Amino acid sequence: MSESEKRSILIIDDDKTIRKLINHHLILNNFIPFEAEDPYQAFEILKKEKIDLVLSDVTMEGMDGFEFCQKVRENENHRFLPFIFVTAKNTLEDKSKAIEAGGDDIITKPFDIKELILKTQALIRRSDIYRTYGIRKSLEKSFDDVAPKVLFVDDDASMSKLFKYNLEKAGYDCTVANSVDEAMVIIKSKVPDVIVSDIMMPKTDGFDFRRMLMKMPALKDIPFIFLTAKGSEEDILEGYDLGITDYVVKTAGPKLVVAKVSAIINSLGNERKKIIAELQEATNSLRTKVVPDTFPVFDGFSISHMHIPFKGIPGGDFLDYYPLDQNNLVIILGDVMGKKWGAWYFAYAYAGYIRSALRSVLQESKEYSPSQILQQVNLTVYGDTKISEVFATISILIINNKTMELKYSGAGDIPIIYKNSAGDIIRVKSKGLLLGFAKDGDYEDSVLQLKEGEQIYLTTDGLIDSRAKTLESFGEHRLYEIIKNILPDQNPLEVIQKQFDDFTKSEYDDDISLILVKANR
Amino acid sequence: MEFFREETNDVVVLTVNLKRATLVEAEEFKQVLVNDIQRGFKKIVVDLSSCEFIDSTFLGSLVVSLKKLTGLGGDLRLVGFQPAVHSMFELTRMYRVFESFKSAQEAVQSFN
Repeated sequence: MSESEKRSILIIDDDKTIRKLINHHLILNNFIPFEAEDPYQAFEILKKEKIDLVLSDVTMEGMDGFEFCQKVRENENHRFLPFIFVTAKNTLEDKSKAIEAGGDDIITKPFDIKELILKTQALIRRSDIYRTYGIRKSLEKSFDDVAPKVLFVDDDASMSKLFKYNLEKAGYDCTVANSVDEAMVIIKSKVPDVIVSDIMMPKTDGFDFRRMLMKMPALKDIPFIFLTAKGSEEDILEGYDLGITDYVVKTAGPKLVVAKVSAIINSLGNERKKIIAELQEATNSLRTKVVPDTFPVFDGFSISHMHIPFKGIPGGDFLDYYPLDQNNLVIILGDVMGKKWGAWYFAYAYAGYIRSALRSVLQESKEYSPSQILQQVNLTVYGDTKISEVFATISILIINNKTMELKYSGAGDIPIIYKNSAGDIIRVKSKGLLLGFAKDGDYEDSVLQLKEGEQIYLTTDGLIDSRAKTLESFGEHRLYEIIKNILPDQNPLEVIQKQFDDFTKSEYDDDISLILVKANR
Repeated sequence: MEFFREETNDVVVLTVNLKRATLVEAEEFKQVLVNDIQRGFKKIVVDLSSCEFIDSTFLGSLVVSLKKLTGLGGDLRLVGFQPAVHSMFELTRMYRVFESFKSAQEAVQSFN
């Protein structure tokens, strides 16, 4: 983990031994600790450093932890800062006081350091989800605002009135400015989707207006149409040099302007593209990823995958590969239930959450049992009440290139497919419950001894449930037949995708994911 | 009516009138269930006999509600598995956590 990825934790406790103890374990777990012996020092640190989570004692001289938390929350920037109380106080009254003060969680002394670390990790992950989710909400809201906004700038009032009337009739929210000064004020409070501006205006003309906007990164990309009585070539050329989107001669009339505005809005109308771009950015900033870019290189096996996100929107399914040591590789395929237009963003964040929860289990794991890994992640997810409404299916494999042994455990997943050296298709079922449903997911390992050329396929319900125009589902058996008939010189993933595309006419109902593991010796 | 709701004493019976119960209806269905849970009902029967298919999102809304109800000491019981629905429950091992019955009447009675 690079330094910039590490999260900063502020510890406030008047007991030096406790501070040092927590400090030590935070460092071991890749956090950057900051120590304060009282709330006043803590405020100084909060002012200077970017803190991701606070661990605070309750009983302190001067100002107690509850009061401190309230004060922290008064600062707008720290309203959602994850805050955990570490206290010997354990009564119900203390707990409710902690919540009232704005705390997110409470850990009682004497505390189990493992619990403290787990709660810290979980709370940070959760706040990441809500942060992104919040961005999504506000994004959605901005797109729910039905009418696209047009700013119309012209010093001629009757002209403005005519165009405003026509634009509004066409369903646009049109605001009029009668000078560039006025336009600049309006733009700051209500960013338009398209700007239509006259060129010839007193004081500041349309060209200068455009030049002003070009200098403002947030505004320079707003589509800009020049409208003018002039139709001379120089004018038009000067306009295009300024990176305008279009140029309309006034005499052409309002209808043409409306048509051009509509064309621009439609071309941008790609709201989804816009949201996806924002999503990518937001998730990049979270450093969560749901599918690796490359296939892992692991001696003795060839591993490849195919992943086609539903409608191009990442979410739902997630994949991961993780080397435990030189001889053992973990392979994970999961599916968050309920990816759909309303919740896909959340599904994405959640997939990232599970993936990182798995990673933190794996980082500490000396455990080479998929079922035990699953159970640990299940406990984390199950215990995290704020995400208790989301469930996921997961298949986990651990392959060993010394013994060529494969261990498999699953949580509510589609059975893995084993094509053995005789060419038989064997469906290997797991028995565990959906991740996060019950405290004990009842996971267990199945072990396969692989021989050279044998293959294992993992998939999610997207592939199985997708339907043809005839409404018939692709189904497990069709997949088995295809796999059975794949010839040794064919690329299995290509063959499956081709047949799947033929079947569904390339219209998918969900994320499509498939992982292929092949033993080479 | 996609979801038909009936109360018998303290048991709510929800009938899903959909051939294909999918993500399109899942959110609304979850809301129906949540409303009942919030109003204090702890015994809920969901009749799926009209459903030829349910997808994982719809199943998710049942699972969420079951988890909520069992946390409150209640239960959600199911009725009327058609073959594809049955295999969905089997595939996700959810048949192990949901109790299912042949008829709504049987399911209602099982609560007493």
